[in-house]
Amino acid sequence: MELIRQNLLSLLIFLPLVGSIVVLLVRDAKLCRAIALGTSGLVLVLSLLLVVPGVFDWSQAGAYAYESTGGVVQLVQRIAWIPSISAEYLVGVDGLSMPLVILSSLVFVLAIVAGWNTEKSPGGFFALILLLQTGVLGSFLALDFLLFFVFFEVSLLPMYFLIGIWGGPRREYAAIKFFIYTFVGSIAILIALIAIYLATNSLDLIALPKLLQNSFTPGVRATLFFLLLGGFLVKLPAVPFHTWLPDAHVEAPTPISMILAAVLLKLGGYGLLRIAIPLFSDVAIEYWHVLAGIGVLSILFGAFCALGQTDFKRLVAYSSVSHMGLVLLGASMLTPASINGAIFMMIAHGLTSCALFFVVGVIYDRVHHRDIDRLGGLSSTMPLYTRLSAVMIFAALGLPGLCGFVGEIMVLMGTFGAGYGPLKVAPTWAIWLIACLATSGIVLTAGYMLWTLQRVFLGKAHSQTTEPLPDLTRRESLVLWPLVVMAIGLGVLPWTLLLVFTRTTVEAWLKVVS
Amino acid sequence: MLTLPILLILLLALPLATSLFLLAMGRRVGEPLAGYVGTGTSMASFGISIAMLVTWIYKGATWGYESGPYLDFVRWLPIGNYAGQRDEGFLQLVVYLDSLGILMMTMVSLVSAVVHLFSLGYIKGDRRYPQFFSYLSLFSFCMMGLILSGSLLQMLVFFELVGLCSYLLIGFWQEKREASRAAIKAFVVNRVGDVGFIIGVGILIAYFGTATLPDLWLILGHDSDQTAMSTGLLTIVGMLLAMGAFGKSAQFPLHTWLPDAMAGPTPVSALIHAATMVAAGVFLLARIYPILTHDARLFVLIIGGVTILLGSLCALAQRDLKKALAFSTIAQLGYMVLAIGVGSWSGAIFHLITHAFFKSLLFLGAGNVIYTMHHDGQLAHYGGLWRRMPVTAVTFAIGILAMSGAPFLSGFYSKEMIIAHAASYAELASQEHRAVLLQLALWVPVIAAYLTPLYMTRLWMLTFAGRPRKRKLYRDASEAGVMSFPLVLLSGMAIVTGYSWFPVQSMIQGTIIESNGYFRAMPQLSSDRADPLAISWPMLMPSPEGISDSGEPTEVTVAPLTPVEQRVTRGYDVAHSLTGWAWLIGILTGIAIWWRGFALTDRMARFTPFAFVRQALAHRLYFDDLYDLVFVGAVQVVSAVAVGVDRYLIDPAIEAMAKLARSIGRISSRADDAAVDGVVRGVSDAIWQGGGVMRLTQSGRIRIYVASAVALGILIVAGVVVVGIAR
Amino acid sequence: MIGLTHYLILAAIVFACGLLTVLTKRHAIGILMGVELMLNAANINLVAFNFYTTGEKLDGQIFALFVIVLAAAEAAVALAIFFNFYNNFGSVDVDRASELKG
Repeated sequence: MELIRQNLLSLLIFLPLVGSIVVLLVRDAKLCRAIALGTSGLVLVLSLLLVVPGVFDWSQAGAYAYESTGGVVQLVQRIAWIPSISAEYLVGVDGLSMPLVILSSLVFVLAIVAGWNTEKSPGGFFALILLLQTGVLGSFLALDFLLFFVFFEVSLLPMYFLIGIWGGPRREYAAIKFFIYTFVGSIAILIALIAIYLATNSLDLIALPKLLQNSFTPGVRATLFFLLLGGFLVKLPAVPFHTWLPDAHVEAPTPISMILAAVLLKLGGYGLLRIAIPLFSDVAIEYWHVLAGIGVLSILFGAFCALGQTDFKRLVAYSSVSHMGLVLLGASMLTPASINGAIFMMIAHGLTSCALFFVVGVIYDRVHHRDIDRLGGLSSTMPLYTRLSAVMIFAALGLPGLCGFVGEIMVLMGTFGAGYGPLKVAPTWAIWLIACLATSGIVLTAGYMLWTLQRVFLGKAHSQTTEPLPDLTRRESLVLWPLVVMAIGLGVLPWTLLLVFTRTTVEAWLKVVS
Repeated sequence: MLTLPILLILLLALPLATSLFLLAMGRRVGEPLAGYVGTGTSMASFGISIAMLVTWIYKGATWGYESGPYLDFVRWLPIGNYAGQRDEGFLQLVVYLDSLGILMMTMVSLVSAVVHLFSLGYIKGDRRYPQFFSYLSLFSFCMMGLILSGSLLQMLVFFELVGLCSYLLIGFWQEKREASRAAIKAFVVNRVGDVGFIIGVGILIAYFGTATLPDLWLILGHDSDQTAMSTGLLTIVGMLLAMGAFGKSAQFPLHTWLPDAMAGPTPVSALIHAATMVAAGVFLLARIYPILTHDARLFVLIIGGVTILLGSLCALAQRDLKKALAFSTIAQLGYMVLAIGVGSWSGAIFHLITHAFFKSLLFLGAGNVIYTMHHDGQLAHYGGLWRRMPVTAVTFAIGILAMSGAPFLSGFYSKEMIIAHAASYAELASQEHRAVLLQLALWVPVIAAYLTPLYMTRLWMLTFAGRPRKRKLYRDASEAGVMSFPLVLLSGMAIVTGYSWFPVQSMIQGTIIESNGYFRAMPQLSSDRADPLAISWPMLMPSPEGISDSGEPTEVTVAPLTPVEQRVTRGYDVAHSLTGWAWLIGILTGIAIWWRGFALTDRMARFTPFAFVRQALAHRLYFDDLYDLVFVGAVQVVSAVAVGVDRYLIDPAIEAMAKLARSIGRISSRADDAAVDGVVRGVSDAIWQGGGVMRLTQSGRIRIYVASAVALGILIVAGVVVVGIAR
Repeated sequence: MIGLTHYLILAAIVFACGLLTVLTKRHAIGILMGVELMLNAANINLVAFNFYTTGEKLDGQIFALFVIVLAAAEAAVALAIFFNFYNNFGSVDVDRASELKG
């Protein structure tokens, strides 16, 4: 048991890799997916161990440092990797990464179940998904900048192939677009990485904020910050770096869309919170209006774009842009409420977007199009599907009692109170203007979500969907139910289920930042 | 021993459990049984709330009638540390229960039980019968949660949840396009109000780190100059918070959703859109009353006044029975909001309770009519129904009398109280520089007091009196027992709630006493401040007995009246003389005008200006069209622009950059061609020839390439070794 | 005591393995693996020489690091090529890739 605890994080990272290799070696398609599901299931169980008291101690309060020195970062494993550039194999978990790790473990299991019937070379498909999982979990758990970057890149390539091979008609265009966008972002991050290494001779993400305090001239600091910011904003994605997202989503197969929305976008938010902001907090505070402005722009622009869509999947993709704008806004405001809210929003968006993309996939499997205007009246033929979808749609529009609301309201409240945090420099009217604009976004969200609900599920059945469509199969409801339960659970008990894990870390983090 | 917390949990858990049960198992439970389950639990809820009322009156240790509110806190969201938070660094979920809460709960659970009973008949045979009861139960739960909320954020939570129930129930007949649209409209318009509310709460939390009502009362309740917040900002916060209330209570300019919401089933209109949810806005105003500044209250007053006029006038010309009732609801809610504005806290609550009963009575009566007329709501198709539906006709008439303010019915007392307070307010304001404006606080409700009986009588005359205008519908008309009994019950309530022995006024009074520790905001009248905006009326009611059954609140102070108090009493007299006979005049006028159905008004419509006015009122003064044009249009335009920007600006920009990179490559390659190529061409030709020979070796087989490379490598190494040895 | 020779022998073996793989496999991925082996053999030599000759300077290690990065890039490019090739021919048999022959 102690052995597992010591190596838990490494297990989490490399178990999918092992699974991936095994899947590649096996020829039988059925065995492939069974192994894939088994591996990801095991990873989920292991990640849930983090919640068990005694494994990860969430009540641990202290500095933003390693456990051994009384900090909040726990389960640290530290092995020399490339001593000459002081790169280490350094992994650890704290309140920032822990919820995301559990979320991604869950989403991968669900995605594998969702892609259960993939016909086109299932072996490669599941192997790539598992490889992707290694990349994602590695990125969330790595505390060495280079290690983070390597895993960050590892998560990029499988995605390219998954969209490019298993995607829809315009898959190559979408895959290349995705690849180029994110690759340019990666290069920006890499440049910053090299500069930071040359200045400090260290790649330790937890130690870097202190080490970097007095390096560089202000101009260089700002440049480096914006390089990092650019890299993560592409991933987030924030307006105007977002156009790859709708294309990638529309072309990607359902399980890949689920992973892309629920997990990969979070790498952007996580990168902001773990790297960009703490390393150059002074710049983040000085240029708060840029961050917050992009956040609000994303919220409103995404919502307006979503209002204008007729493709169900594009609509959900644009709603992602809008929701991730809230994450950016929360991250930029640097108050306990807004940071906790940003983390909560990431988890909430992970659940809702994952579910909504699956919902789109379910109806696409049945009618082979996603045109909202040609859908309608599904509630009479598919009652269970309608109910579960409705719950997730309401969760996405921020109905209280469901997960979206808590994230939204915390970010907004944190934004209003930002003047009391590190953003003392900012004029109050500007903060409130931004907060008011962000708040007004909820009307738009309600508008497009309810409009979608009405056009797809309610009303009279459309003439082209007259033959009764089968309701959810058992496999499909198996994917949706956990998400629905989590959405309700997080909405009703936000403190017990999530915020209790993040609060102390956020406090420690904020001390570093301010 | 059932103590208060257990009863509270029961009261919340019972409807929620019922709702979930019916949602999950509804289809299996089947038609009549699902309804019985829903109705049974709603009646049980009423029983529990009665038990709670009893427990409340027989006081606990620190809480209870006239001793103090019941308070409970649960940790909720981390918000950061502020000085003076109850739980360092956290927002809390707060249960706040006082006499007002008990009163509201009893009212809600009673109306809910009655509406459940009525629905058994009304919704019979519907495809989604179990769902209907599930949603009703869910609504009861959310409404109870709203009443118990002791924190503004929590109120927002339940505001949105009752909004959800309203959305689900308005759109219950989802196949009707109109219903679906109305449902979305209701939700979105309410969200517009909620945005204001969230901004207000956000500013409060930013300053004080708490949204808990008792804390805010304490911080802001006394003279607002002493807090960190400037009075101007507090005014803005008050106006923003009030926006949430205006959305829920369908006040101008957010009133447009309520008439449309009538597309839902009529029991829903009775429960949600007449008695409970729309009153929640007024409830909110009552809760934030101590932190409303004078100017914020003036704002509330103006909105209330505009809404009264708007609602009363539009109600006069509606051609649909339910829509006319909806506008009358808007007008009555306007009364309550205006009451808050003039400081008549108790008047607003009092009218809220009485209105809940007589308006749900009217709606259920209307539901009875509409049900028997095969869901046809057009007044033009009714007439003469009193012979077929005597019980409905009589109870409807009682509702109308109560609403018009006829003596000895509940509306008389509550409306009199509001108008009397408004009159005193205007009287006190006559010396103010804003005097002319503030006089409207008196004249608007007085004018509306004459309009109310007029438009209500119109409804009765057009529905029940005269000759039937659609024979076929008339022939089928009848009334069923299960749907008539609730009418009788509610008409009983519509009569008795106004009396002072009935525990309504005493509960309102109790609330004020209980919250004395918190409500420091309400200055006593005896302090000589003549600013009418500084005066609150709840303190004016010495005790329930102080109000005689004639409805005129009388001062029983022994001490000689101060000048201010004299003017206040003069205000009462003015109100009494102005509106004492309004109900009779209105009703008689109404009977005269609509004695022969539409005959007289149609003849008057030949006069063009009148026809124009009637047309405008029937179209709700074109507010809906205006909003469609301005707001919905604007959103559509912006969204089209956003999509366009995405497709035609950002994407092409990215692609243009890619193209630029490519063409730079091409240009440089062309430069190569021109300059370097000429020099190189000779060489290249030679190489080309050589290449011709070399290409023979290019088999295209990669392994042969590798093998030859390796062979070559080995040869070189061997050569080197041989040379080395030779040396 | 393990000396420089041991490393060189190991590298030679690894190199030979890689070479054999490249020569004998027709499967493109196999060839790629062989190339990787050969590169790694070179890496072993670089590191070993560095350790046993200069010892303190890290030129060899850094060089090896470059080789690794290059190898990764090369693998990415190669995989992309194979992927395209697979799309066109439906297999990754390199012997069928003789379109380029002169």
